[in-house]
Amino acid sequence: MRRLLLILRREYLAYLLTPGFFIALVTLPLVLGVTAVLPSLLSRHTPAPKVAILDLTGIGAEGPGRYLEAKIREGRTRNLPQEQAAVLAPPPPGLVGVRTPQEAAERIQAFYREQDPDANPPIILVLAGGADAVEARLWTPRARLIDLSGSLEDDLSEWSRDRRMTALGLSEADIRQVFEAGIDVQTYSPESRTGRVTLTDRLPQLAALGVSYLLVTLILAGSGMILTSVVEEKSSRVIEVLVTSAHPAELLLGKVLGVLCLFLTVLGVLAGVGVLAAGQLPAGLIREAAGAIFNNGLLGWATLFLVFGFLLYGSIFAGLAAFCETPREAQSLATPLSLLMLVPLILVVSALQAPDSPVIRAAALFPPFTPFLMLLRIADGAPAWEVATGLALMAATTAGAIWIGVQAYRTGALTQGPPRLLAILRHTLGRKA
Amino acid sequence: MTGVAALELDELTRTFGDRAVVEALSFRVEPGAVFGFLGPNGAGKTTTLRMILGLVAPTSGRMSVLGASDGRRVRDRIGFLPEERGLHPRMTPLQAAAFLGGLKGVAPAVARRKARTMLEQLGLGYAANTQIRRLSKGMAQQAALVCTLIHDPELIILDEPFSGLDPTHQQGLEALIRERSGKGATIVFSTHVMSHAERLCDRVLLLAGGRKVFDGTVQEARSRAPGRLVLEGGLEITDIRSLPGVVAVNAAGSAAKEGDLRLEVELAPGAEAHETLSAAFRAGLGVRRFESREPGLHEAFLLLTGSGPRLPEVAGA
Repeated sequence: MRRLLLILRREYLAYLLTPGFFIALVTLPLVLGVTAVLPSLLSRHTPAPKVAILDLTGIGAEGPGRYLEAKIREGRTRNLPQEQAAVLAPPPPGLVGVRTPQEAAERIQAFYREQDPDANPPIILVLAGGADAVEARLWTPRARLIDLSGSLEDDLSEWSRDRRMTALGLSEADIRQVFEAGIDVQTYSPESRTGRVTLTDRLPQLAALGVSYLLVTLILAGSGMILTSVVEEKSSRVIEVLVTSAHPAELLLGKVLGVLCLFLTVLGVLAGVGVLAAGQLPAGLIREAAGAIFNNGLLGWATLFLVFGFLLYGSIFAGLAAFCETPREAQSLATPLSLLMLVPLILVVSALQAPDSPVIRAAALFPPFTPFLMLLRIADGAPAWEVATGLALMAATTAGAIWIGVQAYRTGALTQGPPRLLAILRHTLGRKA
Repeated sequence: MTGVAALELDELTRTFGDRAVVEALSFRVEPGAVFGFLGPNGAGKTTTLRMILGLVAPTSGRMSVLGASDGRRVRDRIGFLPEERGLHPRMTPLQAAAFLGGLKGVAPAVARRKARTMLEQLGLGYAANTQIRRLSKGMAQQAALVCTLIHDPELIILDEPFSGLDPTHQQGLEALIRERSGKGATIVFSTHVMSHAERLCDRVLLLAGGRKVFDGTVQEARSRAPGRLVLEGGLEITDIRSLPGVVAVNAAGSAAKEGDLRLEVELAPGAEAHETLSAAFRAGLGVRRFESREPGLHEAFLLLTGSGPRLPEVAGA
């Protein structure tokens, strides 16, 4: 135990006492914050699209061109956030007197050739055809610019329906009633605190989903760190001294738990900041989301699954790495295991739709997936026997993984040359050093 | 040989597949002895050391390491220095000593204090807080040695400890081995450099092809090799060949005086050079100069491992 703690401490401090760790600790919340506000910032600083409308339908004041111009001028363009609302621009002078869409196309292309695309020239909507069959072509200087066609299509369709209903003799009030005649379906459940199901009721499940993703990421990252650490010790021959100084189980567990403690430190700091921040948040959805993460025992379960996941995967990664002298060798050996860890990521999405489906229930009891999927089952109110069975199977499998990892580590530490999977299996399971 | 041996191997064998890397190896190392483990590359030295340390299981045979059935049971009483550095590159020598000493039960503060003293003895005090990756190979080897000895082990196993060291550091290491031996530690080291073994070892063991070819004192090993006598003068080869103890006569370069011969006379193992020389004088041979060359461990090594080159025999001899 003394040796295990010494090795744990060394591993922990080897990562902790580096400038990179502190930089990462400080920058991680910053990166998360910036990621959250960046899309909004970007859209605010993106110039609003300018739209010029050339109406060749000949309908006049009641035509679609005027209708759209009024909507854009009033900022009522559909499906666009306020900060991206289009701005009305006059048609380029070269389009004056144009009669047909073909003629308009030639003039518009000539116009765009003269313009600097970075100067935000207007997009040009050309409307033609008759009142019953309006033909709309949207010209844009660059194909990759924000596409307004969907938004304009909705508005034009509204104009068309409005016109047809007027033709059928409906008054303006009748038409408004038709548009407002949609039926809103409300969901109710006895499990909901208020009776009516809202996003708040789904927050625990969404929080479990987020934490599950975080667990996969952390365990994958931690296993990678363990892998690299063992390979470094193997290539520098430190491993030969270590195996004469401590039992391989002490070495392997010390290493895995050292990296785990590092991650728990990071999570502890972030959780502390999160709790403090949650207390300062105004009442609302964000505060409720924070509450879903920090209340309901989710963090406790997450910590438990993180520990088991680390021990399970970290032990196997460490054992495999002991056979490798270069990170490349180790990565190629560990790739199948890394891919296995990605399967729960796919299942987690299905679990959000149907957390109690037989596939998810079975997968949550499959020990390599339990650390990632059982959280969702718990959030869904899985029965105690199911959780207990999952934990028991996971604990037994973790113990087995540690045993295999120790055997592999012990044998691999002294082997030389490129690793071969069959030889590793033979050595590990045959216990021949 | 009485009492408990520090190290005793009895018919120890290790095979990999069908190949025996170490075959029925038996030897005994008394407590406090300096024991040299010699052999060409691939002789089985490292595998034997690993079996002693408990890192590799023997296929058959028994051993006793400080009274235990293998090194794992007494790991706190053993110090092992592998051929390569074996230290975390980002640690300083003091940190490494505190960590590895801690694994062997030494309090970190004590380990750091002892390490600083030992590094200063080795002339490396200034590098105590320098990361090991920034040290030269020789300096890193010295730092590793300090870590090996930090817990005052009873049995010290050194795998090629002199490799990579310059003559000054080699001398320092020899002094350290003598000092530890003087304090009662048993030292087993493998080496290719015979001069270190000759100067340091009470006993040496020669391995070749996984088998023991010699086990005894340095003097006993030397006696297995032929002595040599260099004679110069107006000599007849046939006269020299008829002298007692002479096995072969080889050319040994040009003589100082024109017309004279300079010959290297190879003596039979155990033959005394002075008896051969006396016989030459009694026979009235024209010996103007002579030189007796005692066989070294190097010659014994080459002879016993069957890899020694021979000088060309004199034509017509």
